[in-house]
Order: sequence, then structure tokens, then C-alpha cells
Amino acid sequence: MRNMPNMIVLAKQVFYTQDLRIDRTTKKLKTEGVARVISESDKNAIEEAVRLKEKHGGKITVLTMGPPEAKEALREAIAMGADEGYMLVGPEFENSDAHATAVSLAAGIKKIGQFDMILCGETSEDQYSFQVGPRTAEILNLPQITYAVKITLQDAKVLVDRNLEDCYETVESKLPVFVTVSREINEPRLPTLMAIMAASKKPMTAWTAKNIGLQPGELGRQGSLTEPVRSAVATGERKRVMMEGEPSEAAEKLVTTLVGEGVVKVT
Amino acid sequence: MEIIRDIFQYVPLPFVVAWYTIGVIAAYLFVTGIRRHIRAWRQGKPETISGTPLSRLTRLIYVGIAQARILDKKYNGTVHALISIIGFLLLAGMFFPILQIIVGYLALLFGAGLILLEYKRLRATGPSLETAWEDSFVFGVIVAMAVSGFLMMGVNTWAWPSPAGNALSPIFAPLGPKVLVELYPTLFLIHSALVFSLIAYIPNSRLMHLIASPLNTYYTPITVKGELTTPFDLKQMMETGNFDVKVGATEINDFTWRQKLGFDACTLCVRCSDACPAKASGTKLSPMHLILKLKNLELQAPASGRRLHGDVVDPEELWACTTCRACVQECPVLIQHVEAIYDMRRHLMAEGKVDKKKRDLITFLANVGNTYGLPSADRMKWAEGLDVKLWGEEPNQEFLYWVGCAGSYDTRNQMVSRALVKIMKAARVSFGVLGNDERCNCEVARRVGEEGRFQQTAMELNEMMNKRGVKKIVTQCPHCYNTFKNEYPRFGGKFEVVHHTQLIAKLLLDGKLKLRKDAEKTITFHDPCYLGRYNDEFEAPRAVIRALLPKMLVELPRSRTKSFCCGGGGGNTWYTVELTKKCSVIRLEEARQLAPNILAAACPYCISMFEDAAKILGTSENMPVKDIAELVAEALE
Repeated sequence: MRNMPNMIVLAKQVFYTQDLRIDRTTKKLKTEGVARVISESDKNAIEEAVRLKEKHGGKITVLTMGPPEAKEALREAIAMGADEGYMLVGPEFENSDAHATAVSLAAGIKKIGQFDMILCGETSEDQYSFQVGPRTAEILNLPQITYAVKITLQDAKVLVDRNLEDCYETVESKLPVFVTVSREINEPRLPTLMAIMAASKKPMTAWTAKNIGLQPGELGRQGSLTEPVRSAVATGERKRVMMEGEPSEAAEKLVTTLVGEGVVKVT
Repeated sequence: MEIIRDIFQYVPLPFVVAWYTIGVIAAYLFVTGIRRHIRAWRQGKPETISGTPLSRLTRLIYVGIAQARILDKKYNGTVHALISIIGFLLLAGMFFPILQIIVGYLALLFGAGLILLEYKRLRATGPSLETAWEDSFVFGVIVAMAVSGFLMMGVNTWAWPSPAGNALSPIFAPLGPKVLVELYPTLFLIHSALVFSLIAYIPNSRLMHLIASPLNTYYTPITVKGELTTPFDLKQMMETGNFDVKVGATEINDFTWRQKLGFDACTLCVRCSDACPAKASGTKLSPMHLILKLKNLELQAPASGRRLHGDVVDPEELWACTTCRACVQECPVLIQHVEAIYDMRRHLMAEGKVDKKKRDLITFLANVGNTYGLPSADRMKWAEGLDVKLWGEEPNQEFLYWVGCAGSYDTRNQMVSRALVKIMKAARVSFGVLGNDERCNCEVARRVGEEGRFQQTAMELNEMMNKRGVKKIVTQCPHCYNTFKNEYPRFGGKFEVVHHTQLIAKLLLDGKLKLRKDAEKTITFHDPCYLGRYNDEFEAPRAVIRALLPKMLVELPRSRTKSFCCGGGGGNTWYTVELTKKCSVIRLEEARQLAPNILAAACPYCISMFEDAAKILGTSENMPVKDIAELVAEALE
């Protein structure tokens, strides 16, 4: 059994999506007063790292990229069981797309140094690109396993179960490895407010682009490969179709309709 | 004139030696037994008991000696009070000759009382009175003690004049003085040996309550009922940066010495479990058994560090508690069951070992400031079309109307909010609401053990309300009422807090509301736990109901301090508790027996619970659930 894995967890702070509202005239998000939280599957990643540490020992370093408020995310991660935190903060990192984010995170990881495993959520709740994990792994030239629902650490390798929509597979990899996790992998623990406050005493370091050896052209909007062009508010009308008749008749009609719409597949 | 009594007259030396030997052994066993208990108690955490010695002594006399709490049960209560007082007097009679005169009469009463109670116990009329061979054994010994005492007094009426002795002496007299003189020492020794053995047995049996119960009645702190203990001071910790505090109880010595004394004081009277709504609804919780588990733990291995949760206490027992306080109310020896439950809940929360619903509850409170997880921007939707002013929008606002999470977001309780607004406007009460600045006061967070979240919220809300000049608060939720009134002061906010039934009662008294009297309907009122039992407010809602002049205000069988909880408190509304029959259904069935036209309530939890139960029982038509405010608003002219 391998002892003491060195783990890095990437976690992003996002707005609490349930409380976001869209200003219908400006098409902008109303973020004033909305709580900032760790993105859900990143929380799962932190939880998984803590469970691995509880089982095998080792150390957990959390890395985030965001505004100064992201320090809260580091505190919460430490309160859950991480040992230390780093944040990439500064105007130079703003407006990064998935590529620029991956470049920045990879540079941060290189500066952190030695690791056996990198964990992060499969996607962030605001952008939903699913790309940052895989891109970062590529830049670092690491084997990557995505959509993990179970991780088993054995000596110098991992066994990871992946839940792909129509199949389930187990993948083995040697270390070091990059794993992105799905929300099904675990139920993240809830640290108390006191634990979060106590976490302030653990080491947390802020890095600028210069600290991690990146040039302005590699970051932010300049370093991005994509650019948001237009945002639109999705509207939808409910179809309001009533199935009439006796329960068995109505049920048949309903099934036919659903199959017709492609919502249900009959094998 | 000197009163002397030579108790060893006619007792030859061997018997005197035996008497002293047995006595010394018994005294030794008694003392070492008691010391074992004291040592165990003292291994608990330190505690400074609040309440002056005089006030606690007064309470000891009222609760401990006069046994006021058990007198609600006329038969059992009165007889028990009598025999325990007499028992102590009999014991004192050994040392104070002056009592000798009445010992004989007392002994008769004592014996009669014992028989009355033992008869009751054997018939086991109580629903869950637990009896064991130990109880019969003790009763047997006491009876033998009494009988041997009467025989002894019958043989030697000179040393022990008494009615019983006098009655029995004709039986013995024919034996002649020589036989009697030989018989007497044996009887005397037997009687004494039985007394001594009982004394020696006290520390190892439920008779320990003779020592522990009065002690606990004296040492239980005098506190405000509605305020929980404060396990740490968050503000101080933030200032010093020292967060090294163990939160909650994980093993027996995490409780204070006074709490441990309390566990030991249990008399197994079952009053708490009989009153417990969680037990009645079939959950794993039984308050008495929880206390006994803790009591056994401390006696078995005081310093073992055996973990409470999992080993001894099932977390489900702790979460099933609605914190209604019926157990504490009923306990004749002032054990604080709910306090122990909170201590154990705090540990579970600190470890994060709670299920998804509880985590979601805390997450919702932290992120959107309400228990429902609904958008913070929707908090004022209930007031659409009502012209409700914000606090500070108008000059000279008297009351901050604290709407609460339910009043703001729960569709059923929004109706109560609108009714209350209508009433206050009709009475020209000037009030304002915080609007979107209002967020949950986190009373429920404290109840499920997230003390830090509660304290931080309390400090923040107090600062905000103080800055904005809030002096008086009115609220329709007894939980909000209780926390603002009794818990928020410690964290920097001292306001005059009023429950809406109190406000309406006062408005009626001052003639500020004109009501159509509805003489036709009968109403029964369910006392909310946090308004009634916790804050002793029973009259205001009744005054309002009487002002509506229903045909009759009928009292539920369990009303006022005996009110049976709806099941919503202690966080239970927000997570799932495994049970066989909901508290609310039990309560509605109780109300249905009275066949009132209306079941009146004054708490959003109660109304929510009862509306569910009404659907289950099908009583929504013939016995609707209404808040006091709704009844008044409907009756406004």
C-alpha cells in the first residue's frame, strides 16, 4: 500500500448559482449579494483527496485561480482537511478562457513542485466547459482519467472507475496522474464556520503571473484562444399538452409522445 | 427536663457489638459508594453554577422537598411526597430523641404510603413504567424493615411508645417479661440490620436518587429556559486567533460535573419519556433511556474515554429530538436532557458527520440566508401589493416586523404575514420590515449544533439592527421570538421582543381593534413549545381567542406546559426522522376528539406540520388549522 501521497487539488470559486438572477435588459448576471462558493464537483475533488489522506496519509495542496475573494475557497478547503493553499490572483488572470486557465494552473502546479496525483472537478458550475482539467493535464503531459466515480490507490498506481453515459469502465494508471471527478464520487463533508475560521491559520500564499513565470501574452484575454461574442437569455414556453382519457389510454398516448420527442428510447 | 433515650436498654453486649459492626460496615459501604459517585462526577468538566445559593435553596425546598413537580399526579405525587418526607423524619428520629414522640405515628403512615404505591406499581397502570426485580426487592426490604420495626415496638413499648406498638403489644404480653426481654434484642438487631443494609445499598441502586436528586436540584443552574449553553465565544476566538476548543461531547467526561450528577439523579420515574413526542411517534429517542445510558457509562468506567456516539448513543436518537422541553419540564429532579442532546449534536456537526439534508440546511443558511434554499432576492415577494414599508422608510416606526423565513417564503405562512400586516395597519401600528436585508437569524443552526454560524449571524444582525435604530421587534414565529428575546442579548442585541399574539392581545386590550364577534365557533388552541413551555406565554393567545368570543374555547387535554409538540422543532422539519406516526397526526387526533370548529395555532412550524397532518387525516374541512392572526384579520370590521 503506497504511503503518503502528495496531492494537489484544483478548486474554483464560483457564484452560488441557485441565487443568480439575470437582468433581462442588460443580459448580465446580477451578482450583487450572491454568495461565493466552491464549485460543486471541485468540492467532491477536495473530499476525495481528504478521504485518500485519511486512508493513506500524505499531503493535500489546494490551488485556485480567481479574485481576492477566492481566499475563502482556500479556507473552506483547508477546513475540510487540506493542508495548505495557493491562489493565482491579479488582473492579469481575468477573462481567461479554458486554455489560458489551464496554462496558468499548469504553471502554478509546476511551481508547487512534486505531486503524485492532481484532482479537480469534472467541470465548473459557471462555464461548464469540461475542458480545464484535460487541458491542464495535457500541458503537464500527465496521464488523465476523467469522470471518476471511484478512486483506489494501490502502491504506485491508481484504479479509477469512470461513469460514461452508456458504459462504465475501470482504468488503471501509474503515478503521477491527473483525475477529474464526477459529483457521484462522494458526499463532501460540511466544515463548520469555526473550522473555516480556524483554517485562516494554515499557510495560504498568493501568486502573481510573475511568481509563476508567465508572460502577459500567455494569460487573460490575450492568452485565450476563444472569446465570448454574445450572450442570450434562454426562453422557453411550456408545451402544456394534456393527455385525455382513461388512465391507461392517457398513459399510452404519453409514452407515444415521449418516444416521438426522442426523450424516451424503447429497446 | 432532659429527654433521654437509651436505645440499648435491654440489649446485651453481644447484640450491641453486632449492631455497631453491622452499622460500621454499612456506613463504610455507603460512604465508599457515595465517594465513587462523587469521584465520577468530579471527572467531568468544571462548571460555575449560576443562580444564587439562596434562590437555588428555595428551589430545592419547592421542587426537592415539597416535590411540587410530581403533585400533578394526585395519587402518586401526594403519596410519594408524604412517604419521602416521613422517611427522612424517621431516619432523623434515630438521632433526635424529640422526634421519638411522633416516630410511631410516622411509621404507620410510612407503611401505609408504601403499600399504596407498591400496589400501584404492581398494577403497572403507567404506560411505560419499568419495574424490575430490584424494585420489588427494595420494597420487600422496606416492608420487612417496617414490620420488624412494628414488632420491635410491640415488644418494647416502654422504649418505643407508638400506636402500632400499643396495638401489637397485647399479642406479645402473654409471653411474659422473660421471653420478651430475650426476644427484643433480636428484633431490634433485625430491624437495625435492615435499615443499615438499605443505607449500604443506596449507592448501588436507584435509591441513589435519595442523595443525587436533592444535590442535582440544588446544583442545576438557574438560567433562562430559552437560551442554550454557549460552548465557546466566537468573537473572542476571532480576536485571539485561538480556535483550540473541543466542541461538543464525545465521551462522558466532556459533560460537566453537574451534568454527570444530573444523570446520576435519575429516579427512573419515566415522566420524561411519557411526555416525549419523539418517543410517542416511534423514533429511537426515549429521554429516560438516554439519561440512563449516560448514567451507566459514567459508573462503569469513569476515565475510559469510551466514545458516546455509535457505542452508546445512536445519532438517530439525538436527531429525533424536537427540543420541545417536555422532558425537562416533567423531570422532578431537574435533569437537563435537552442540554445533553445539544452537546452531543454539536460534536456530530463539528465532525461533519451529518446527512445531506442537514448539510443542505446549513449551506442554504450560509448562502441564501433562509432555510428553504430559495433565492435571497425573493424575500419580499409575500408583500406584493400590500404597501409594506421598509424599516427606515418612514419616520417614527415603532416595531421592526421580523417576518422570518416561513413568513417570507412558505406559501401557507405568507398568509399569516399578510394577515398580521392587515391587523397592524388597522390598529395603526407603525412598523417596517428589513426587506431583502432580513436573513435567517440561524436559531435552527444553533439547534442542530452549528454554533459558530449562529454566533456570527447573531453578531452581524445585532450590529445591523442596532445601527438602524431597531428597538422593538414583533414576529409571528415563536422560535424567532425566543432567540431574539433570550439568545441574541448575549451577542450584542437587546431589543424588546414581542410575539404577534402578545401584540394583538395588547391592541385588543387598548381598544385599537374592532372585531366582529363570532359566537358560533368553538376553538381549541395548541400551545407552541417555544412560546408556552419556553417562555411561559399561555394567556396572550387565549385572550385573543376569547375576544373573538367563540362559543367555547376548549382546552386540549395536553395544554399549556403539558402541550404536545407538533414535531417541527429542533431542526426536524428540515431533515427526515424515522418514525411510525407523526407527532402532528397524534396531536390532530387529540384535537379531533374535542370536535372543535377550528384548531388555532401561533407558530409557522405548527401550522406547517398540522396542515400536513390534516391532509393525512382528512380534517382540513371540518377542523381547519388557522393562525391567531388569520382569525383576527378575518374578524376585523
